[in-house]
Amino acid sequence: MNKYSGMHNHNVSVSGGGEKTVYNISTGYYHRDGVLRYGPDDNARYTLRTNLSTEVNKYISLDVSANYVGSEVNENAYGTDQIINRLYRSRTRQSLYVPAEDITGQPYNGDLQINAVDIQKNAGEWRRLYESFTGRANLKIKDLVKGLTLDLSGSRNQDYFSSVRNRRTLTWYGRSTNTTRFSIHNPNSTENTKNRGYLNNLQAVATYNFDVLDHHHFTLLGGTSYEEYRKDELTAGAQSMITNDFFSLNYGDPLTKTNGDLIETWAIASYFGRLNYNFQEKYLFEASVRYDGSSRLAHENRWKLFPSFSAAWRLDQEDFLRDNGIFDQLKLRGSWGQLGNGSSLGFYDYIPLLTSGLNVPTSQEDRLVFNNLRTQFLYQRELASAQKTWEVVEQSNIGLDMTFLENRLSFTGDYYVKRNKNMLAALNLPSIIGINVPRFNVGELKSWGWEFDLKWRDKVNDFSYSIGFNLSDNQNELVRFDGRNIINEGHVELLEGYPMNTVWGYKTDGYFQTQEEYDQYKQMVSTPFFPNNAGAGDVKYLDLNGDGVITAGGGTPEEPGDLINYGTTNGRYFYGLNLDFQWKGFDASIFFQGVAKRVFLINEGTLSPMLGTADLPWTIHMDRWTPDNPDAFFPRMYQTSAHNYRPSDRYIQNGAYLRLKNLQFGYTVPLRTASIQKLRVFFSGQDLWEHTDVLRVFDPEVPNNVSATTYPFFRSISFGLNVTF
Amino acid sequence: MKVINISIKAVMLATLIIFFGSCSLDRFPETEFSDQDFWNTENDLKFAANRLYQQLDGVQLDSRADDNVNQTVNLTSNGARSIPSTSGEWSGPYDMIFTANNILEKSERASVTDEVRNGYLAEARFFRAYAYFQLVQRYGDVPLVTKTLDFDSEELQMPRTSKSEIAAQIYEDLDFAKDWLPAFGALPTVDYGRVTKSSAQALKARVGLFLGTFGKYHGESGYEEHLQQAIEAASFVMNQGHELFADYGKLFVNEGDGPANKENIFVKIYGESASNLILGHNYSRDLENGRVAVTRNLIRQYLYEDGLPAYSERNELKANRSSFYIQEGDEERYNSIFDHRDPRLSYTLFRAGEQAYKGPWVPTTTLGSRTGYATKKGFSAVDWQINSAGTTDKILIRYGEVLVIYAEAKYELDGAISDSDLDLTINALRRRVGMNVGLTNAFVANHQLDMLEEIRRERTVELALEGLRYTDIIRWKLAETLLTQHILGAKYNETDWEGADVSNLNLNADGVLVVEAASTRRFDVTKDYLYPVPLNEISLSGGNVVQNPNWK
Repeated sequence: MNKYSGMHNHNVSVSGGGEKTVYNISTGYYHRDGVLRYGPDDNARYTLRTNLSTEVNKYISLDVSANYVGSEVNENAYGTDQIINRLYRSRTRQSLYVPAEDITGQPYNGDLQINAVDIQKNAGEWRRLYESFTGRANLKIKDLVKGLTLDLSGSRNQDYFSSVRNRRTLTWYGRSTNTTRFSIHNPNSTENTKNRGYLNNLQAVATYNFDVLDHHHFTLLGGTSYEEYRKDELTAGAQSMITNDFFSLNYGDPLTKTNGDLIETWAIASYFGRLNYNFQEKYLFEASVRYDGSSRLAHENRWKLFPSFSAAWRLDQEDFLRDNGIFDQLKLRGSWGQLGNGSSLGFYDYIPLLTSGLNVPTSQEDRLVFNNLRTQFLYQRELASAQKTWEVVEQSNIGLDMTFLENRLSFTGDYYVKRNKNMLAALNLPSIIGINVPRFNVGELKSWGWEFDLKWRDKVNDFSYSIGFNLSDNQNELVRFDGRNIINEGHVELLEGYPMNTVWGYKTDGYFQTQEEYDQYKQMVSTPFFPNNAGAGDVKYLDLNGDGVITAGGGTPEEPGDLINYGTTNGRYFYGLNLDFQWKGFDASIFFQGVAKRVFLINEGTLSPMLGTADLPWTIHMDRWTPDNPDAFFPRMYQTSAHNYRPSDRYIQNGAYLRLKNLQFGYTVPLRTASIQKLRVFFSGQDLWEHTDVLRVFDPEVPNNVSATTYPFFRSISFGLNVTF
Repeated sequence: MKVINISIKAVMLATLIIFFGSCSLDRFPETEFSDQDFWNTENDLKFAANRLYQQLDGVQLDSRADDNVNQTVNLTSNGARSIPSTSGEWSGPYDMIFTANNILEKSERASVTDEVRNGYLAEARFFRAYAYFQLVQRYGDVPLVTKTLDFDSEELQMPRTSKSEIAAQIYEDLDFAKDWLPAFGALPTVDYGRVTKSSAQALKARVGLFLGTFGKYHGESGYEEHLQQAIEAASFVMNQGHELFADYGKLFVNEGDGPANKENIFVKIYGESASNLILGHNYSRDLENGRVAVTRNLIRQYLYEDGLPAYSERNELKANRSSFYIQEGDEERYNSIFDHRDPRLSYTLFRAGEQAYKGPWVPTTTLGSRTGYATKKGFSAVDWQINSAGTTDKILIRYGEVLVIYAEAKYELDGAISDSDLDLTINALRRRVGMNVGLTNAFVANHQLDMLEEIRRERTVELALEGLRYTDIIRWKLAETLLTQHILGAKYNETDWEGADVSNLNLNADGVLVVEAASTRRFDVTKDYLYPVPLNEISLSGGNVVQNPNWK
């Protein structure tokens, strides 16, 4: 693996125009090398944005833009994560190269295992290309009638995706080429996916501003929008190319050719209206309503109405607070509203669909053969759910905005409560149902939290600076869940009366230091997941409920056995600190970010030194229990059993951290020529430092159940140049 | 300007028309077929029924009993298993039951003759019975679901149904299947692999024998009825024209595949070949890597060529034993165990020096086999070539089993069996492999043998490593005796174990490999005869499903 890898980023933009017409064109290129030392592992992105705005006459203005984004990823056909895993974990007895006595003529060894270096260099390439074009036109007609604005816009995003994965056969031999010890990608194959998608968006909005008497300002808005999406995809594959170095569907063995198509469509329509009322910039009210329909729902549940209201009071505009000398601004805000969330619905959930047995792509177990032919079978994979409807998200919010001391100190604070009243969630049903169960509107999730942002900015002579601090908290509770409540060791996503994503584990009390100690414990407590030769150096789990056995009990929060709720994998108390300085040509900014409370688990197979017989322990496992090292971080070495790594207080990670997220220094060269208007050089660093208690091989921002296949964490440092002509 | 104005108005108008004209929200699946448009023709029924064959498990490694071990200890075998939260052993059969119930309900919609329809209903009922039998063997009582359920069905909360009620449903399903499935001789070659009358009745015989003997040895009443069912069903199959495949060794490899082999009654089809792999398994590689390593415990059950045994079914050395028996401490060579033995032993494992997986077999434990024995039964050099590209069909029920079911059920019911019945069953199997001493009432009497033990031995040997041993010792109530003994392997000797490091081998006083010591094995009679019900099934049923006795 590379310890360092390169990255570069270039952007050029041009803008100009006159009084009536302005244009803006920008383009960028980004390239990054990956972590693997050999073979394909890099990605690149190209962007082009253009925009043209023009005022046709005093009534009509037109805005047109066209954007392009292209990105390319080159990866090893074997999959980077699997290569990383093997680089970390292949046994050292597995030599990379074959000894000189070998007569097979190949440089790499793969005896009984794959050879990760050979794979990096020779396992083939997986290229993915994604291109997206967006065109957008907006026509604005205003004041044909005084105060009335019509806004018509249409846009189309069209994208193209191509993936070509060519797997080369690699074979590792024993002492001669007659004895194949291991092989991958046998036979070799190519797998192609192409798709083309579009997203159309049409919107028409009419806005009417009018005043009643002098101080009552109204805005009335009405509109409609329509969005539709369609993706057409074709996949094809073939195996057994004529050579290992040329891949094309044209040359595969016809018997192994596969193909398939996939079409995904959806459409959403909305009608909406809004009324704003503003009295002397002091009292502000807003009421709005939406009526949304989605193709993803059955006819009877398709349309739903979502109202919302908000109000604000600018106290600083009141006579009794005007010129008070403290506040420059003081604003109280409050809102309540409902919105529909349909994006988490499947495309055709309400229709019972049949899966074709000839189109099950990769998994062999999903195939059927009769009479030496691949044979069709049809089945319903999942229950249909015609009852399904919109998730209704209801949010209430109060907030306060203040600025003091001639706008040098500002404060914004908010408190909100959000209820997803019809949350879609997997219904947990007894297996006797015999079919996969879709997500239904079975939950109600309440989430609430607050956030505030405090900022000080000032300028002393040439020195200007600002300091910002923000802190927020978010909690949630699944207040209703008809899917009933099951707990198990580890991560539990949904549990009524608990936050989402709780982590449950046992409580431990160090290690058994002697066999006698274990034997004594065994008299009192049975540990069903222990191997029969458990003993000294194993983790001592505590029988909290005193029933003589270490289990998850009834599997419910009321009967948790010996499990304890250790918190959630969702973070709490996010904070950030931002410092900016400018002095003459110099500028600097420092950004710290942190989370004060979070727990997560590390994958058992990764935490165990040798759960798989092919796994090599990591250097962190050196600190393991032996009679001479009784307080080691890891228990005694044990192969093929993870009994010491069951979720417990011992290995649940405290995911709290503080990190120097970004650091930047710049200097604007005081140079002013005819051709160059501005020249700035800068240094910037990302993720340069952190403080955390997470096991040191992992980054604190990893998701739950992180494993050895995780892409390694990178700190990045960049040097750059901005030139304005 | 006027022109522009007009054209802008036209554009606006057009936009609005498009808006309200085309804003339909109907989107239908274009690459997936709707169930509402299905179930019309015979082909539809066939495609739906094919799902059952696809859900059917084929090759599975089973080291729960004492006859073979995998690379690591089996927690069911050594008594260390715990209650899982969820388990495919519970949910898998219910997935198949859903498929069957769905076919039974929706076939009504097809416009086909009743005869055609019943043929597919019969397949569905066969597989429903097959799935329930898996559940009954593992858990005893389980919820009996005979229709498809929706997410809000009350039946989802149902308690477990008694084993006898499920048995009645299984028998009813299998008799219906027998009435409407084709006879095995009438099955078109292209349909080879689909179930027949023989499959239904052979399964019924297996069910009857299980329930009958389990009932008898675990003190349940009414077991005789099940034994009677077994005998009748086995007799039916014995009149269908099946024949034993001539070569016992080739029966389990590619040569045994296909309709020409009249011994096969129910198989899971793999194919077509490594170069056109549709569905493959890894069994031959599994054998190479010691995932099905024969134990000495199994080898001890094989007869000597004089028709006499050395060990009882309880794995005890018998007082009156074959004179060919060599004390284990005196086995000079690795191959001594093969001397004067039932020929099936040589079909079941490789001799030292015999061409095995990659070359001549040299006893070792380093490549996987923890017993030092190399399993041969089912090894195919063709299948072995490429990982997971084995295409030998997996036999799930064969005629040989029906014969021993008949003999065992007959003896268990009547307490006696005639020489002619023995000749038709046990001795037919012995003749096939050239084991010329037959089992007769006189032979048993002359040598003070136990007829039941010899019938069971025949079953153990004939069907070795075919996935039946664990259920056998459960229904015979021998698990507490057999699973708590040492699991033993080959005997070490310097000559044959070329290059082996003896210091790494755990040998007993006889020089025999101790694979798993008795002290690491346990079997709790009060609970281990049934599987633990997965925790989630109990809590999701609102506690209506209860745990099996003494599991906690």
